[in-house]
Amino acid sequence: MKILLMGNPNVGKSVIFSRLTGAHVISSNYPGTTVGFTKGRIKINGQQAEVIDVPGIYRLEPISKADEVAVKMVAEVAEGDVIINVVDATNLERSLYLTMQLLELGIPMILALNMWDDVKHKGISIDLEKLREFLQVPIIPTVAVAGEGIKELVANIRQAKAPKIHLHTEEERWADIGKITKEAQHITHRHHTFLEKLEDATLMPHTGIPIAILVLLISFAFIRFLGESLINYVMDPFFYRFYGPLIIKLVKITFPSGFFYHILIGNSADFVESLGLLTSGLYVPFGMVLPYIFAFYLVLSLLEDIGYLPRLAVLADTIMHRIGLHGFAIISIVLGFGCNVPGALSTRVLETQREKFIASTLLCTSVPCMAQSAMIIGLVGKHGLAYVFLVYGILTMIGILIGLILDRTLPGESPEIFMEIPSYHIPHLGSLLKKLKMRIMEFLNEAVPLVLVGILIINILTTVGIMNLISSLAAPVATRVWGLPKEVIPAMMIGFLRKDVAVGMLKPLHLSIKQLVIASTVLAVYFPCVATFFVLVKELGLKDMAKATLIMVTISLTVGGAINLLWR
Amino acid sequence: MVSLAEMKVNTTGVIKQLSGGVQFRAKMNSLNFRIGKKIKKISKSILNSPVVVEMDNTRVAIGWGMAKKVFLEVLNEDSSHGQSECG
Repeated sequence: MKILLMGNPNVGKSVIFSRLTGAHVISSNYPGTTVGFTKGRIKINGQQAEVIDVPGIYRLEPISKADEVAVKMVAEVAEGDVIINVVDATNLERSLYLTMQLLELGIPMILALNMWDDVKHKGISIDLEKLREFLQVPIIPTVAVAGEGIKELVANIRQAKAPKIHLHTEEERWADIGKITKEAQHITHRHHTFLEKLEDATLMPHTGIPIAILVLLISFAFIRFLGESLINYVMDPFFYRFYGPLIIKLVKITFPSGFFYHILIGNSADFVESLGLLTSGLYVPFGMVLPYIFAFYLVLSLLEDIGYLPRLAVLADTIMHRIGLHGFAIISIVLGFGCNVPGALSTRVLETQREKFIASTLLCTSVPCMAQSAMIIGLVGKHGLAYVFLVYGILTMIGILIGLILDRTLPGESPEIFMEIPSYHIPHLGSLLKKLKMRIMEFLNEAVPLVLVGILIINILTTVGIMNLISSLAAPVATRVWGLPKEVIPAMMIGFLRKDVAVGMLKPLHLSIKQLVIASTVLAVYFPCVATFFVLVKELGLKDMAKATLIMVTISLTVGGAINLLWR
Repeated sequence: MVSLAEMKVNTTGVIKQLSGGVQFRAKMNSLNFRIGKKIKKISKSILNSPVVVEMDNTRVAIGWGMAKKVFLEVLNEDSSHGQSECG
């Protein structure tokens, strides 16, 4: 038995999914958080059932790729499957269109009337009995974030009904919906609350733009403050005073010196420079990057759950249009600052291949992930924060330039923003922490093995002399174009795997600040890390990804060269 | 009739015409923008920024170009509960 969780975007399907299955999925307060589908399991009366979190959709005629996923899942429904139709109780009329379409398909349905707690203070009253009478399916009011109504929902899944309804035309559907809402729903007008005034103030251009700038500045300052504090007061003391001496002692007992000691511990007392598996291999992901990942996702999750990001999307829309995107792409970019992989996946809600191509190319060239940023802040920031801003400034300029050019040269035009702006919600602490934990685990699961593999590869290639050979071959580009020593080539190669390790590998080279800025910029631009690359091959197709890659290589050569020439 | 792009802030209008292709109408319909629906314009547009409207207690942002294709009949020039922050 399959249970499909369906409904409009941003009605809380993913929250209900987590509650039903105990599985972990990311949910946020904006439409389009779920772009693929997630499966989980649940036991009903001792019988196993599969629960699927379907991407949100407004109607069964797809507009974006995420919509197509949803429509396909409905087409694959088999005998005995059930739909849990999640409806935003504060937006009944609109939700009912999809409800009608789903009912017409004759699939048994149970309806979860979610956000039931918001109904009252929005001045809406819903007559549940009347609604049940009209729709003839079980209706359970729920407050998913607080877990209310979930038990009843599970208990009633077996009662899902498929009332016999003929296929309606669009007009007929709206006529029926009109009748239902007129009789079962009553909306009264009431005065705006403080939260609603804040909702509007952060959305109107003349007040919203200054607020947005302030929010971004505070976020950056906070992330840096928290990240640095964790490094200086927790991670560094742990690694240098406790873990380091201990692990060196332990390894020395087994391998006093030689190849294995070298591979495990490395040859420097500095845990970034040593390039040992048990030193750099753990210090880079845990000691340097993790604090920033934690700080970044804390802020991001907070902004997401409050519902701020869609407002940022609206405010950024005018600027984003100049570079061939609409405002929603800013959400992909913000996610990309955490990790390019979720950023790339989120471009699925963009409607056209053109937009996806532009957004993905921008992500790869101009949006360094937090792992990379942490290392840039650590290394470049030592010479002054101004240089960190210089790197980001250059990257931003590259992004704007690419966007402007692509928008003018690619055929077609980008669609416009058209999105619902969700109300602000006070974040639910439990869900927030769960999401934070999930993202951190995702980072650790993906990053740590790759960092270790990367360091192992460097050690092996260096030992057998291949690294030296490649470095010599590629030396002219590094020295003549970028003004960098040929020793940066190994870092560039490892950058394909993990950019954080790559930036770390610059440290023992003792580059000048000019070289450091060039190397950091080139490392950010020249190629996406392997995880992002494969996600994008899948999302964009091989041909467009090849084009994007060509753009990246070109940009890294020219921009790196330009900085080298201009900076005297 | 006036387009949503031209309609004054804080006025309410009834949608009379969606002047676009099938795709455009389908997209509008998905968020319940249909002929006969009442919407209130909430934000002024600066440099062709999206227009924000209120419909059935929800806020929706519409790109400037799309807003030019939505035609309404204005119901009241002056809203009974003006919002100070919109001036």
